[in-house]
Amino acid sequence: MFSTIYRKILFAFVPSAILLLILGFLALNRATQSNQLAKQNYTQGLTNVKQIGDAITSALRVREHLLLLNNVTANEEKVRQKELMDSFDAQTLILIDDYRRQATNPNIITLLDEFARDWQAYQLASINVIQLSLSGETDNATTLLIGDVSQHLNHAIDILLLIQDIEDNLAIARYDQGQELYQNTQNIIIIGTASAILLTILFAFLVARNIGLTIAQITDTATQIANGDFNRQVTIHTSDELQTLGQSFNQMTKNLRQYIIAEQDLRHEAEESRHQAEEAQAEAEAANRAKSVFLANMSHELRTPLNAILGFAQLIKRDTTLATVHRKQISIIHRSGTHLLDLLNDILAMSKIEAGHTVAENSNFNLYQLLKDITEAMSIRAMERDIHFVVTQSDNLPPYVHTDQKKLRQIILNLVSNAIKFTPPGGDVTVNVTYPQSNTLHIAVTDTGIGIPPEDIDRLFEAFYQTEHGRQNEQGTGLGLAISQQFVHLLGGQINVDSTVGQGTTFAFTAQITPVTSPTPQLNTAPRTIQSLSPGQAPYRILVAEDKWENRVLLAQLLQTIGFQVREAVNGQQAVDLTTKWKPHLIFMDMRMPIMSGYEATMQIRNQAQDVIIIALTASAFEQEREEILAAGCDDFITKPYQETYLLERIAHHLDLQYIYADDTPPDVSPPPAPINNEIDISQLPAALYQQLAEAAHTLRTSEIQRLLPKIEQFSPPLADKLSTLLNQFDFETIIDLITTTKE
Amino acid sequence: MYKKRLILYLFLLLTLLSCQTPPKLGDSRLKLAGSTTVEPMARDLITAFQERDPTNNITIRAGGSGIGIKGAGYNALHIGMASRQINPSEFELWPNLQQIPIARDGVAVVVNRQLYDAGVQALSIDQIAAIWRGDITNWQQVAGPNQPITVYDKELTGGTRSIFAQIVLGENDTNAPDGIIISSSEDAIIAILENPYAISIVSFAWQTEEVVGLSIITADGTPIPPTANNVATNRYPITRDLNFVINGEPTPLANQFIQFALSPTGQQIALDNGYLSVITAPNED
Repeated sequence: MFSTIYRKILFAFVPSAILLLILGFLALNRATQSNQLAKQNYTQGLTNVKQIGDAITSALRVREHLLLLNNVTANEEKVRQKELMDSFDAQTLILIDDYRRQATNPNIITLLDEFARDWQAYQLASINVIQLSLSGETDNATTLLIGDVSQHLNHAIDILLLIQDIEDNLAIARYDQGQELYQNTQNIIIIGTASAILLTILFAFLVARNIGLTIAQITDTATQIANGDFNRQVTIHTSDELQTLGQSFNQMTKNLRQYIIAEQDLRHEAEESRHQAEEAQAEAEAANRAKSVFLANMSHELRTPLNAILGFAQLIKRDTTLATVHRKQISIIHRSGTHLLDLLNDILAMSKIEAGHTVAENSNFNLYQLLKDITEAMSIRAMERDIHFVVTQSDNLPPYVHTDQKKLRQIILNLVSNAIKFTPPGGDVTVNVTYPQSNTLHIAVTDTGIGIPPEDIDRLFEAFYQTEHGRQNEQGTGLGLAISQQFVHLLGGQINVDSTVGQGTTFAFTAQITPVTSPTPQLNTAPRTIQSLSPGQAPYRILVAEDKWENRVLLAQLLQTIGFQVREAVNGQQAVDLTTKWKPHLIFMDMRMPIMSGYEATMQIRNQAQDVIIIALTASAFEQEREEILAAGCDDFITKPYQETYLLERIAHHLDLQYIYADDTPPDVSPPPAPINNEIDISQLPAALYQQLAEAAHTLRTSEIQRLLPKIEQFSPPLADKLSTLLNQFDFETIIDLITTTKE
Repeated sequence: MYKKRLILYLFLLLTLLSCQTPPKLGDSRLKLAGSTTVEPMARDLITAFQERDPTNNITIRAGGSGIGIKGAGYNALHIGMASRQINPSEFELWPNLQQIPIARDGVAVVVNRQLYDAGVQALSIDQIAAIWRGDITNWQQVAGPNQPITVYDKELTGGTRSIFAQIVLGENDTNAPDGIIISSSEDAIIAILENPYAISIVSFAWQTEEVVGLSIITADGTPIPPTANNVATNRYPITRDLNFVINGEPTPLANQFIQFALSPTGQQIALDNGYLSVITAPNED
């Protein structure tokens, strides 16, 4: 059973085959005709004429010869010649007769008859002449010869020549006809072959085109479908396999379309739920971030009044005239405030982490030294609680590493203080530092404490979560481990805990470090205390615009102490008015104020083209707000809580003035009676006290430092003073730097 | 696409070139035979014709006007040559015969102007024949002055002389018994100029003011002067046409040859052979 398409292609070649067959037959026919003509010796007629011509020539010669014979000639010879003549004549007549029978051309026949008549007349006349001549009647012979004989002969020859002409014409015509036939045959074959080839090509082309176009249509449709247009259909009406193919294709497309639609619906649903999940997550994250921002802001806002409370409590505590009961109450206020500050610091740190504002600040440092410092610091506390504290380190530990030193230190101190806190006297606390694989530091803090119940372990690292025991102790904020965990993550590591109730706990964490060959050189950044303005400088007017009185008063007092002229404004409107009237050199502008905000006030002042330095005061630590502040027209900004020194230095920077520093000049009248040593020299502290101080500083425990201050004051009043100042400013970094650098 | 089309055209062109028909042998054949009078002029025509296209195969022979007409009639010849008209019996046999005059012969019988003015202006054929035979010897016999006639006869072989002989003298063609034989038309003109009572024959084109052709008095007594017009129109009796005879349509080559014979070049050859052009415009009378 042949397929349709096969038949199609086959039939496409049938016309060509038939044509070739016909043409071949024609060519054969013509060739045969041509061949027959060629066989039919086309010069036959001419040959006949020539034979006759030869015969009459011979007859004429014999006659000539006979005419020349005379009486002297023997009769035998005469008879012989006569017989010869007769035979030639007979032969001539036979030839003419033969030719006459063969000839088909009527003209030739007519002329041949005429020729025969003339020739016979000549024969008879010539015989008479010869007989007359032989009989001696020469004159009569001559007359006859010149007259009738030559006339007949000439005419006969002329007629024969005409016959020859006709035969020649016929021969040429036959030759030409043969040539023409031959050429025709050749032409038929050539044209036939060419036509056959063209037809074949044409049909092949048509067939190929038919198939090609159909396939192109399917391909095109397939491409469209591949591009997602499932409504495309192929329309093929060729009544063959291609149509079947097209139909199958359409069916396939239909099925595919249904499948795709179903799949799209599913995907759409999945997409929708994913989208919803993402939205929920984004909302949750936004809420969390908002919470963090809120907490950060709140911490700042809380610390500002707390700052005032502690500051004034401290001032009052120094008042020797105070009654003992009040002093005790003030101490309670101070202690509670300090605890509250610790809590706020932790919350702030946590909030900063959660708000994503904390990043690793990597540097090169001596890891051995760090471990030694920690050992020294914690040994004292361990000793106080009668706990055996050991730090071990593996041999392959690199001495110099690149990571965030402060955060690493804080994690270890946190874990060790926790371990000491929760280990009963007589127990062991062990720190095991190893370097299990390159670029990974592994630190395990193991204690033999009370252990953590399994139900608590899961929530151990949650912020504000404390174990039952921790709550009973009323110590800590519940943020230590959360912060530690976040720091561990910042350092590229993981923290985990393994604990058995009653036997002890092991906190282990890893940190990504890079071994280096030498530590980053550290600058001596110990700040110097500013005493007052250098003498001989014009009085500078400084306006403090701050709605919260305690902050305003604190700042105003500080500036007045230094030697500036100070006026205060409680809102933006007052600030604008005072600027116009008083023309201050510099304005401290709180950005959040009632009636008129710091932004508005700044813009108004700038609009009045007042040549004044405006330094914004803001509790916010967010970059975005800083840009807004500068855009409003402020020259600079200082983040609350500010460091006194930094604030004063910004003033000096903008107003181009000089200060007298504490170590430049003889000491002022100093309220606390103390050993006469104003040098801030931490080496004067006993080692144990120093370690306690260092630990407290590194764990950001204000209360602990506060507790140590009276002891420190005994050895170095300036240091105690300085620490107290820094503590009030919550500048733990400076405290840590002060302790570290002084010691080293 | 254009390349494909170009290949197709090339293919067709090659096919057509392959189909070209070669020239037929018959097309280059031309056979002439017939009048011995026409034959020499026809040879000259063939020579000139072959100079233009030497590829043709042209044969020619004599045989007489009768053979020429018969050969054409029987389709033996492409062109028959005849120095006479086709007669009615021949037309009866071959009704498609055509005669094409390619040259004309005319003979003027000339005398000196002085004699002409003296009264000898027209003679009949018989009178001329009598003069040539010596039957008339004085101009007085033909209304002229009393002076003896001097005949300057031409050689018998001359073309002019043969026409003259054929029309005037008939069968008995001999030179004038008391005449002086001259060999050229120039001699005849000089003789007439020197001798006012001389008579001679020249091709009628040679007539001048001083050498005047006599009118021929026809049977009805009308004198016909030998003007070109009269020669061309056959009114002047001592003329004849030299004809090409064809049967039906001529072959292309025969036609070419006839056209060539009738062309200025061909007619110049007729003049060179001492004949009249058949295409000379008849502008006299």
